Amino acid sequence: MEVNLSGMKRAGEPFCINETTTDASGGVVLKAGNPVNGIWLEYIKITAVSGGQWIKIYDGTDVIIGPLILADGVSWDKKFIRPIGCDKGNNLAVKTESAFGVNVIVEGFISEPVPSSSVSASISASASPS
Amino acid sequence: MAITTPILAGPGLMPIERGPMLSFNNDEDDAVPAVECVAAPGAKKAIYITHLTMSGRTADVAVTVADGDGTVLFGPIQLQADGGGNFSKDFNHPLKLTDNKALNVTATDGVAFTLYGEYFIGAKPIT
Repeated sequence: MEVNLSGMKRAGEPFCINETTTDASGGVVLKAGNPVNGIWLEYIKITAVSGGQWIKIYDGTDVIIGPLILADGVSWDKKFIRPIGCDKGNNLAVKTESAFGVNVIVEGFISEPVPSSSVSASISASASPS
Repeated sequence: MAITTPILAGPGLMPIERGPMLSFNNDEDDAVPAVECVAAPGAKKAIYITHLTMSGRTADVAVTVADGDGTVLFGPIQLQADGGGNFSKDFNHPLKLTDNKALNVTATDGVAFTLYGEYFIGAKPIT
């Protein structure tokens, strides 16, 4: 899978989410999709509460990050100098391999779709990871 | 595999033409032979890596990042099983591959791992 990373700067309403769940195996919505504007990620920190399994971050049904494997108590964080975008209307969500505790902190903003293809948020190619 | 000294693209050496930033995810059961993460970009272009995160699945694994010819960029990086010891690196000075070479990874034979990376294509790469 290949994802374009936006060259846009912060242009919309910022948000910060702190989500802790004991079971994300069915998928947990971190930020509900906006029907008009897309969700853009600037920072993410994932900490495993019970570890050793995979964690994926979704734009709707498309994986945009992962799988990452984290042991119990291990964190992974990433500042996106070029924000990762979700298509408008799509939820930003986290999913784990099985009943698996995880804490996710996300910072980002809501903005209008970006007109240039060079700053597209769309998934652009090939197969998704399993 | 030969080991080289990778080129890190400093501010004065960045390519004039730079494509959009892209990311990729790989979830591999086995990287022997090598797995291609990013295809060769074409003549007079090069891949510039700006970030890599790697984690091991159910067994300890050593992962090596190389170009399409098997020339090692860095590694092997030893990763602990079940995400106990991961590797995550932002390259503030992008790590440049040789012109028109794919980005490949190899790993301990038959051992699974995952990889997330960010990169761009430089249309007028430094040489």
